[in-house]
Amino acid sequence: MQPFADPNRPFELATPVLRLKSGKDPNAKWVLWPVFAWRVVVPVPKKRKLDLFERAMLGLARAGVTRLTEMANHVKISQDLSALVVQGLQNAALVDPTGRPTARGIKALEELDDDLPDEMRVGFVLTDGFTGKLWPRFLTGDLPLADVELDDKGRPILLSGSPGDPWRDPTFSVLPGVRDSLIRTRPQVGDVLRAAKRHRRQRKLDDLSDDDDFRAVPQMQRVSFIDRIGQSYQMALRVHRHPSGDWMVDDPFGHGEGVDLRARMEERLDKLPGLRNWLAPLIGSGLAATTLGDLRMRAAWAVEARLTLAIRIHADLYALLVAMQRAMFEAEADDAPRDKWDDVLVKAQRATERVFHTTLKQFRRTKSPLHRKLAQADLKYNALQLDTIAADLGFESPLPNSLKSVRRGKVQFAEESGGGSLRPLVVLALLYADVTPEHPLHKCALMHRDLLRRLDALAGARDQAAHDGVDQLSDRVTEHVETVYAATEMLLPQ
Amino acid sequence: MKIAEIAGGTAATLNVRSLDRPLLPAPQLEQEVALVRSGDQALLQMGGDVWAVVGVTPSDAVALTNLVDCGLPTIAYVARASTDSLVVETRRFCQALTIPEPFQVGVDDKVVDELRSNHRVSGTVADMAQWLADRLFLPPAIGVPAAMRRLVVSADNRGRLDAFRIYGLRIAVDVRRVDNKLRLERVVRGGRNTPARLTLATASISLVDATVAAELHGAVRTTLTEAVANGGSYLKIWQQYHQLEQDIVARRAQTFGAVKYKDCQMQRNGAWRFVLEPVDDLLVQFGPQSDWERFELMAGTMAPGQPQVGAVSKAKAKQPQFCASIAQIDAHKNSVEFEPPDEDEEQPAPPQSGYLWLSTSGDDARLARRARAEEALRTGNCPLPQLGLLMEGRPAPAARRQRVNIAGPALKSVISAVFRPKRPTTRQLAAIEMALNTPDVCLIQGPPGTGKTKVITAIEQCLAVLADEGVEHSHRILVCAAQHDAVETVAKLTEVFGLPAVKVGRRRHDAYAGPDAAQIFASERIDLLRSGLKQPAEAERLDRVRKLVLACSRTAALPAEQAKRIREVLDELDGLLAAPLRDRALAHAAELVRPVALADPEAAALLLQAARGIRVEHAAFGDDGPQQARKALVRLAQALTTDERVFLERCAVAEPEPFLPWMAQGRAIRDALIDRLAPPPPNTQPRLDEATRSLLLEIVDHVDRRRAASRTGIDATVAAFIDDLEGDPEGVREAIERYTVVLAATLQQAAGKVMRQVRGVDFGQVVFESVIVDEAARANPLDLFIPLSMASRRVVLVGDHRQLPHLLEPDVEREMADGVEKGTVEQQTLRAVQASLFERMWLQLRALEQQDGIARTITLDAQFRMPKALGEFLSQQFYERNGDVAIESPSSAEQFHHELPGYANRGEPCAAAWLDVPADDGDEIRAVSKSRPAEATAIAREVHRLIDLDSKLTFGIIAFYSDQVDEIGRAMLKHGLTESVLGRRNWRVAERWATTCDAKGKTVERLRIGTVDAFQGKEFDVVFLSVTRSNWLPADTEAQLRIKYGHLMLENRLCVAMSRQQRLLVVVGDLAFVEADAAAKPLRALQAFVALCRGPHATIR
Repeated sequence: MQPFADPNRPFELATPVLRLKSGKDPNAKWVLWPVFAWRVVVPVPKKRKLDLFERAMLGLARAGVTRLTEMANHVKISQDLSALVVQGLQNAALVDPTGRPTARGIKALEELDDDLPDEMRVGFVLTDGFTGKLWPRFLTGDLPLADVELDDKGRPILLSGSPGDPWRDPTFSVLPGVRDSLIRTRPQVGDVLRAAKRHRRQRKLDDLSDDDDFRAVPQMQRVSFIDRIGQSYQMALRVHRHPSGDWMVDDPFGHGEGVDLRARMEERLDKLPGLRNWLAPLIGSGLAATTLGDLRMRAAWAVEARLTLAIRIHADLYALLVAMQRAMFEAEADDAPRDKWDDVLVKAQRATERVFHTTLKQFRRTKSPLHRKLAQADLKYNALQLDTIAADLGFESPLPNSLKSVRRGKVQFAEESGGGSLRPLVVLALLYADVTPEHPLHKCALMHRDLLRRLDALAGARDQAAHDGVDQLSDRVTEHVETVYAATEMLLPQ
Repeated sequence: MKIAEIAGGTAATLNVRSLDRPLLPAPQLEQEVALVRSGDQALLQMGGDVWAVVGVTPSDAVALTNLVDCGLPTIAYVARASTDSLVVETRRFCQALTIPEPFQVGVDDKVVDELRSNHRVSGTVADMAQWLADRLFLPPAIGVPAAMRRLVVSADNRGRLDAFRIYGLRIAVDVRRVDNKLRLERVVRGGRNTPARLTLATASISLVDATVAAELHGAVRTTLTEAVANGGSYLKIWQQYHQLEQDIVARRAQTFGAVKYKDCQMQRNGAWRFVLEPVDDLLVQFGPQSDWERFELMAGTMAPGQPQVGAVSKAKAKQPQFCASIAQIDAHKNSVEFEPPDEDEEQPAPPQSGYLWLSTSGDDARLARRARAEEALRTGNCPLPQLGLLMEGRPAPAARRQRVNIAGPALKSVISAVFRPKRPTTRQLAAIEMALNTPDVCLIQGPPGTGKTKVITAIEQCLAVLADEGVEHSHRILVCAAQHDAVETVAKLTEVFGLPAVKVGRRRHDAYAGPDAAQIFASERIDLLRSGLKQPAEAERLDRVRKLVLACSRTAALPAEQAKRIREVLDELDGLLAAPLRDRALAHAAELVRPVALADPEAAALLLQAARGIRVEHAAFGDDGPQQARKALVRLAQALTTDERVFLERCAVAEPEPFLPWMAQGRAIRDALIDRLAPPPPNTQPRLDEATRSLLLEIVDHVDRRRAASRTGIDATVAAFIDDLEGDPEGVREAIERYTVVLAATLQQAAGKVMRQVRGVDFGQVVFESVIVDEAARANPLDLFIPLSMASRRVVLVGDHRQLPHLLEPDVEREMADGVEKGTVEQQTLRAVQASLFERMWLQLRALEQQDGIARTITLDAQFRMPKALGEFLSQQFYERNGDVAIESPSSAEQFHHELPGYANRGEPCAAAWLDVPADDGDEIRAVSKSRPAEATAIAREVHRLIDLDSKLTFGIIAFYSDQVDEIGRAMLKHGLTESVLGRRNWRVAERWATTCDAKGKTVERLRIGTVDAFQGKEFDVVFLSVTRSNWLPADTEAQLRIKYGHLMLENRLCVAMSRQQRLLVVVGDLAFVEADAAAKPLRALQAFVALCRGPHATIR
C-alpha cells in the first residue's frame, strides 16, 4: 500500500482504504470511492470573553503598540474601527487611559493564550475525489484503515472477521480517469462546522449515543486545518439490494441509505463499464447489457417510430413517453425485478396526463367553467350525463363506474389549475368535446371506441401499482402502454 | 414592582392565626395585607375582609404587638397560607411621606442613552418611562386611590424631596431638583446598599419625557390625534386593511379546517411523513394552498375548534408544537411529507396520530409587527412622531439643526471615494445632502441605472463620519428593503469603517446562501496580512507546528504518514529547532519509512540477489559455489556480519568436493542474510509507537518554550488574529455584528427576534438613528411602517414609483374591491391602498414644500446603465410624460459596445431590436396565466446562438407571465441552456450557463429567466423581452382592452422590463399585433419602441 502517491495521480489501486463498517453479506458488493481526508484540530468551545478585534488590540497594546494608526495597520483594519474597539476596552477597564493594558486586561489575554493541548480534539473531514464537495460527516479518532490484501491483479480485497480465517470482500475501485478533473481544494472552515453539525444532527436522529463512542462528533466552535493538501484514500462503500428490489449504497458512517452516494455512483455507471459490470447482480445489467444511455436512445427511437418525429414538438410529453418506453425496456429485461412494471405504469399515467393537459391548454378558452355542468353531489346525474356525452361522441357507453363517478371538485381542480390526475382530465375532456366540435375526442371515437374504458383501466392499474400486494402482469402493462400511444396519436395534432 | 419584590426596610416574618373564624376565602400568595391595632386586638385586613389575629408562637405574638404598636409605615404580604394560619412577611420603614398633589419626574436624553447602553432598554421615552415605572413603583395601598403609588425613597428627615434615591426592583434611580423641576439623574443596577433609614412615600408620581424633543413631540402628537380622528385618515385606512388581512388569515385557517392523520413517521433526514385518514379529495383540500411553501401546518392531538389567530399563538407559546411546511403530497398513498427542519432548528415530535391544521403563527408574528408599527405611527408613540403627520399630508414642525455641508473636508473625500473613479452628479450630491439634512424624512427617486445604491452607500458613510447624535457608532443605521434580494444587494455594497453591513435574519429553508459578508471580510484581511510576508511570521509557524504535532501525537497513522508529518514539522520549523533534535527527528522519520535502512531499491535488489546466489547444497556448490561466494563477498561487504564473512571467505577458497562438513551451517547463515536484506512487508495498520510519541512531545515542548518567549510580541498577536479569522467564522461574524455601523434586514425582520438580540434590546422598540429603505416603492405600506417607526433622527426612502407597484395581499385587495362594489368600502379608500406609500408621500411632500419650504424629495436624473438611445426612450415614455425630470444619459457609446451578429445597423452595434414572431407562427395560449410557445422557441434559439459568443456577456429573459417563463425554460431544454430537475418548476438554468465572471472578475449571474418581478434591481448585458400576447380578441371597450392586452398595458411593468439591459434590448413578439391601430393607446410605449427599432440605433428582424 502506498499512502502517498504521485500528486498528479493521487488515486490508484494501492491507495489505502478506509472502512467504517464491515459484516458478512455475500450478496453485497463493495466499491472503493476516492476521497481526500483533511486532518483538523478542534479546541473545546469556550465562551468568547473577548472578540477577535478586542483580542488583537489588547495584544498589540501589550506588545507596546498604543497609537491607533499603528494598531489598525498591524491587523489591517480601519482606524475608526480600532478606535471604537480601544474605546470599548477602556470602558471595560481592560486598557488604561494611556492605552496600556490593565492587570485585568493582561489576565484576560492570558486566559485566551492558554489553550491547553489536552482540550483539543483531532478529527478528519472528507471531500469527494471528483467534485471536491465536503461530505456532511466528521470523522473522529484514528482513520479507520481497512485490513486489505491484494488479489492477483493488485485489486484490494477487504478482510474482516477472524485474522486466521478472515471474511474476504472483493472490491471495485472507482479511480478517476485522465479526463476527470480532480478537485483538491481545502474546504472552508464554515463548511466543516456545518458538516459536523449535520453529522451530529444525523447521529441524534438515528438515536446514536455520544457516551463512550469514540466516533462521537464533538461540539465545535472553531477549527484549524493541519493539512495543506488532502490525503487520498479510498472509502469502502457497501452496495446492496434494497427490500424494494432497487439497489442502494449505504452511508459508510452507518446513517442509513446514502442517497447522494447512489446518485454519484449512478453518474459513474455510464463512464465506467467495469463498475456497471461489477454491480450487475444488483442493478440488473452487465457489461454486455445496454447502458442507460443506450436504453434511452432505443426508447426514443421506439417512441418516434410509433408516433413519428412530429412528437418532438411536444418536448415535455416526448420526454415522458421516452421515460415510459425506457422503463418498459428495463422491465422486459430477464433479470428485472417485478416492480419495474409498476414503474412503467406510473410513467404511462404521467404521459397520458400530459397529453390531456396539452389538449386542455388548447381548448381552455371557453369562458364559463365547464366543471359546473356536473352536479356537486348528485353522482347519478353526473353518470347519466357523461354516459350520454360519451355515446353522442361515439364512445362505448355506459362508461366504467370509476370514470363517471369522478367528483366535481377534482374536475374543477383540473380545469382551474390545468393539472390534476387522469380520470378528472378525461371527464373534463369529455365536457369540452361536448361543446367544441373541433375537439379531437370526436375523431378519436371513430378510431378507438373503447379508448375511454382503456384509459380508465390504465388509471385503475396505476392506482393498484401504488399499493401493496398486487403484481402487474406484463401483458396487461403492454396493453396500457398501447393505450397511451393511442391517446397521444389521436388527441395531439402533429 | 410587585409587593413581594419590594427592596429595603426592616424585614420580619410573622406567623399569625385567626381568633374566631377560618381565613376564607383562602388568601393568595404575595397578596398584600394590613396589620393594625383595634382596642386590644390586632386586626388583619385582606381585601375587604378583616380578621382578629394573634401570633402563633409567643415570639410571633411579641413581634405582632411590636408591629401594630410602633406606628411606623409597614408593608406586609402573605408568604404562606392555610385556612387557620398565615405566614406574613413585613417590611417596616422609618417614616411615611404622603404627597397629595401630583408630581412629575423628567426623563432626559442622558438617562435615555444610559438606559439604551447599560440596561438594554430601547424604544421611545414613553417606553422607557414604562420600564422604569414597572420597576420603581408599588401598587397603591388597600383603599387608596389608584393614582397614589408607593415608592421606597431615601429622603431626608424633614421629608424634603430635592435630592433622593428611589429603590426598585434590581435598580435604583437618583432624582434631583433642577430649575425647580425633578429630574432623573442616573439609573444604577442593584442599589443594594440599602440604608436603614428609608421612607415609604405615597404620591401621585409619574415619569415624563424631558428630552429636548419632548416639547416638539408633544405638539406633534396633539395634531396627529386630530388628523387621525378626521374621516379619510390615511393611517386609519391601513388599520382597516390590516383588520381585513387578519380576518382573511383566520378565515383561511377555518376553511382548511383539520385533517385527521392515523400515523406519522420521521424520515432519516428529520422530515416527518403523515399518513392521513381516507379523504375524498385530498388534492382539492390542499388545492387552495397550492403555494405550499408559504403555508405551514401544525400537528396536535386535538383539532382546534375554530383556530383563532391569537388562540393558536398562545397555545404555541405554552408548549412547542410541530409546525412545518409541506414538501410533498401523495394523493395515491394518502400521505403528506413535510420539509425537514433547518440545521439549527429544533422540531418537536408530533403525536403519533391526531390532526393537522393550518398554522397561523407566521402570519400572527407578521401582522403583530405591522400592528405595533402602525399604532406607533398613528398615535405618535415613535421616536419621529411627525412621520404620521406627514403621511396624513399635514405640515410637521421641524427641529432646528446645524446644516451639514457635504463640500466640507470631512465629507468631500468620503463621497469621492464612494464614487471613484467617476464623480457624483449634481443630483446625486444634492440627494446625499438632502438625506443628511432632512429634519425627518427624505425621498430619493432613482430611475433605472441612476446609481441609487451608490448614493445609499455615500449617505451611510457620511452618517458614520458625522456621528451627529453623539451616541455609539455601532448599529446606528438600518438599511432595509421588502425582499431579501434587495437587502443583500445593498448590504454587499456597504462598507463603513472598513466593516461590511451585517444582514440580520435569513431566508427560510436556506441554510447556506454562499459566502457572507463576514467570510469575505475575513479572507480579505488574511490575504492582506499575508501578502507582505515571504513566509509566515514565526509565531504563526510555531502555532501551526504545535497543532500539527498535537494532531500527530493524538492519533495513530501509517508509519509513512508519520514520517511525512515529521518532515513537514521540520520544514515548518526551519531554523527554529535545535540541531541535535532536528537530526534525531530526521533519522526517526527515515527509520519509520525504511526500518532496514537500505539504500535505493535497485541496489537492495542486487544485494538480495547476491545473497540468494550463495550455494549451500553440495551439488550446487559443485557448480559455482566459490564464484558465488566471491561475488557475495564483494557485493555484500557492508552488510555482512563476522560469521557470515568467515563463512563466505571459506566458501570462496574451497575446492569443490563431494562432501564439505562445514557446509551444514551454510543454510542458516544464508537464510538469516536473506531475511535481513528482504524488504519488510508494508505495514498497513496505523500505529503510534512510543519512540514517535516521545519525539513529538519533545518537539512540542521546544515549540511551547519558544512561543512563551514571544507570545507578548506583535507577531504573536497578529498570528492569533489570523488564526481567529481563519478558524472561527462565527466569532468573526459576531465581532463584525457587534461593531458594524450598518445593519441590514428585510422590513419584517427589522423588528424580529434576531434583530433584538443583535441590538441587545430586552425591552421596548428597537431604535436606529437613521433608517434607509431601498426599493421603498415596492414595499407594502404596513411593512414599511415597521422601519419608519424605528427611526429616531431620519428616514431616507429610496425607490421609484414609476417602476413595479407595492406588494399587496391579493385576497385583501379583492375583498376591498368587492367592498367598493357593495358600497361598504369607499372608492378613494381603495385608491389610497393601491398607491404605494412612497408615491403618496412623494406627492404630499412636494406639495408641502410649497408651504414649509423644506425640500424632502429629489429625483436622480442621469442614468449610466444603457446606451443613450434607450435611456432617452425610457425617459420620454415613462418619466417626462408623467411630469418628471428628463433623465440624461451621459455615458459614452463605447461603454455599451457589443459585436453580436445580427444586431448591427450600418456597422454600428444596435441598442434595441424587435424580433418578429408573426401570428402565423402560433397564437398565445390563454389560461390563468398566458404563454406563447412560438416566442419561447424563437427566444431559446436566439439565446443559444448568441450566448457562447462572448463568455462575459450576461443574458436576461423577461416575460410578463409565469406560464411564458416556464414555456421559455422548457424550450431552452433542448439547447442545453436549461436542465430538467425535480420540483414544482421542472427546469432550471443549466449549471454551465448559471454564472460567469464580469470584466472586473466578479462572479455574476449569466442567464436568468423570470417574470418582471424577478428583475427589478437587476441588470444584464442583453435582455430579451417576450411580449407573449398575440390574439384576435375584440378591443372595443375598456374591459375588452384589458383582456386583450393584459400586462402590456401596465406602464410600470414595462418600465422595469425595458430598463434592465446594459447593451441590447430585444423585444420578441408579434409585430403586427403591437402595431395594430387598436393598440395605439394601450400599447403606446411598445409602439414607440417599434418606432425606435426602425431608427438608426436599432433593427427589426
